[in-house]
Amino acid sequence: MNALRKRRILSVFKYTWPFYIISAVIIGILLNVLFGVTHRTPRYKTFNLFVSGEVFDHKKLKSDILETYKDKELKAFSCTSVKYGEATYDTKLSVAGYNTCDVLIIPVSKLEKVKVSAFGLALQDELITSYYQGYSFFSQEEVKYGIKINKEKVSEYMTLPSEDCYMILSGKSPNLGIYSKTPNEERNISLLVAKDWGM
Amino acid sequence: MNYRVDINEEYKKAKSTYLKYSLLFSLILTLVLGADVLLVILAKEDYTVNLIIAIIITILFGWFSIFFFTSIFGDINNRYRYFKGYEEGLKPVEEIEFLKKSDELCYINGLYVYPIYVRYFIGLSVQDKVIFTLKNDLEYEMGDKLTIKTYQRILIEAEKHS
Repeated sequence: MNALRKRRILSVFKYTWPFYIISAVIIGILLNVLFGVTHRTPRYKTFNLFVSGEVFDHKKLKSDILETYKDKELKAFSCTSVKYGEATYDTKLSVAGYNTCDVLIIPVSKLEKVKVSAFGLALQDELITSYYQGYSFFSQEEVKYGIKINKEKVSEYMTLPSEDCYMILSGKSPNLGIYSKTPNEERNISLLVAKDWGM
Repeated sequence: MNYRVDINEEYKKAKSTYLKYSLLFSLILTLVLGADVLLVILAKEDYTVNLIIAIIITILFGWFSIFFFTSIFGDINNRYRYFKGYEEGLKPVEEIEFLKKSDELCYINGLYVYPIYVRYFIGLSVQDKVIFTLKNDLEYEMGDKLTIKTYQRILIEAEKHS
């Protein structure tokens, strides 16, 4: 019985072996996705930056940002950079910039061509008083949107266009403190970054 | 000298084995899924170790499942279905002459059986055929005339002509 059973098991294995490989691959992928989804870093613990210029020291920028805001439980940082004027600039700005970034550094000539209210947070007086007193702003239709960036403060990480650049706080960002769609005073990294780099 | 397979007894045994193994598999499945859920819940931000453990456990279980259903449980299921379908199945009763039995174990329709060689008399023609028994315990001799009842070519009852 045992010899026959062994022969039968071997003959069954001859045509079922691909299932062993396929099942291992599928299980690996599914569990990876499951763990990834259940333990994904919450959006409010990530900070995404859009830069209209060249970021030459991405590593340092990332480590400095994560170090500076570690008490805010910041866990992940990503930066999308594209030189202003490049062919892919508008596409990257629309796809990555408007949709996923918390703060967008955009030159004034570009801001004048777009409707900033479609993606940027309008800076109310209360917000300006709390964070940006004495700073310069970009205004459109008499509403303040962008905070002027101090290029010297970011010169160790990136090169920006020679014209004035402004930091636009994305209206979709969950890191806008009490100005987010889900207000939380502690989650205000976007406001702090703009405060640190602004002038 | 009569031969008879106790179908009810065999069905009970096959059913009991079928249920026992089904329960065993369900238990292992529950344990593995439970372990996976625990590993997901207890995982910290760096979940690499938990992920690797979960993948290893689940892959081993996946491989066990494939082996279980294609080999072990496949046989158990076939045996159970054979006896379960006995009542409704065709069970021809025929006159034969016993030729010889063989000790060689065979695997037919999901059952482990032993072949026996018999001669059928159909009208004026004579045909030698192979049928099977579940146990190799027939005590007939060559030339014995028998009335047999088979189900799916497996001998269920045999009665020797006096």
